[in-house]
Amino acid sequence: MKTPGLLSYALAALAAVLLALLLAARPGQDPTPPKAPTFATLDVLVDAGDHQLAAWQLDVTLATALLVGIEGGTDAAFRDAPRYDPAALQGGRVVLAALADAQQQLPNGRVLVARLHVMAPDGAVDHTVRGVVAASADGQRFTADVEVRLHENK
Amino acid sequence: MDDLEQRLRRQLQEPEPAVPAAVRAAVLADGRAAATGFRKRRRFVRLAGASAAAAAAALLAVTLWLGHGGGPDFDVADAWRVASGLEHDRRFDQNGDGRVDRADADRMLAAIVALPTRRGS
Repeated sequence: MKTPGLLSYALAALAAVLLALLLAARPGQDPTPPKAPTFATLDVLVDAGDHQLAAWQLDVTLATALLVGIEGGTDAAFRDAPRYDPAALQGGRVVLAALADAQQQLPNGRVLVARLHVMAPDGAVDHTVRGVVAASADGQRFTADVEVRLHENK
Repeated sequence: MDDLEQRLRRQLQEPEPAVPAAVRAAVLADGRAAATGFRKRRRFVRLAGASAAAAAAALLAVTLWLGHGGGPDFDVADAWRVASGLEHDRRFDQNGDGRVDRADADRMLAAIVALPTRRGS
């Protein structure tokens, strides 16, 4: 029978040292528990001014929050959820677009067109909106301001 | 006797080389062959490196083009005109059925909201 050589003893010792190092490096109990994620809604309002809002599109980018749901607006013409790429859910960027329900009266002024539900792992819901396009009933583009209102769900 | 003396004198004046001529020639030939092979491999490595760099640059260019310039050349205003029957331009015939109608407007909306990674797929 072959007896273990010096190399075997050395390898065993090395394994023991590595194991000890691993156990020592394992994180212990974190004194501060991880911050609970914040859930919030972002109301997207398009200000059509004197124009009748027939269609709109915009691009929302979240800094760190994640999209978890998208709803339509409160006006009858935009009550259905806007179109979006399903791949945007659980991500930080979405392009939204909607055509007004042709059976409904087209709204003007400030119109709540969509509501985004987001989850912010770090509590921050920073966002940017760009690529805004608004069109009136005759299909002409007009400049519209967009406001995004944050509502944190407690 | 004279021959032997002359031979010994010649050997003293021209000592036999330490490495026999045949062995020396074989070693030199082997070295030359190795050097030639190394030069060929170096050329191949250079060519492969240049090809890999060119391929990476082309891939980067295509990725950037898809990410920033691959969006549709229409927007929601065009889609509204198509859906409302105000627009009949054949370039909006998205499904190729020869008509420009609500079905095309739906396809236009899908293209507008598609994230860059999905465009063209």
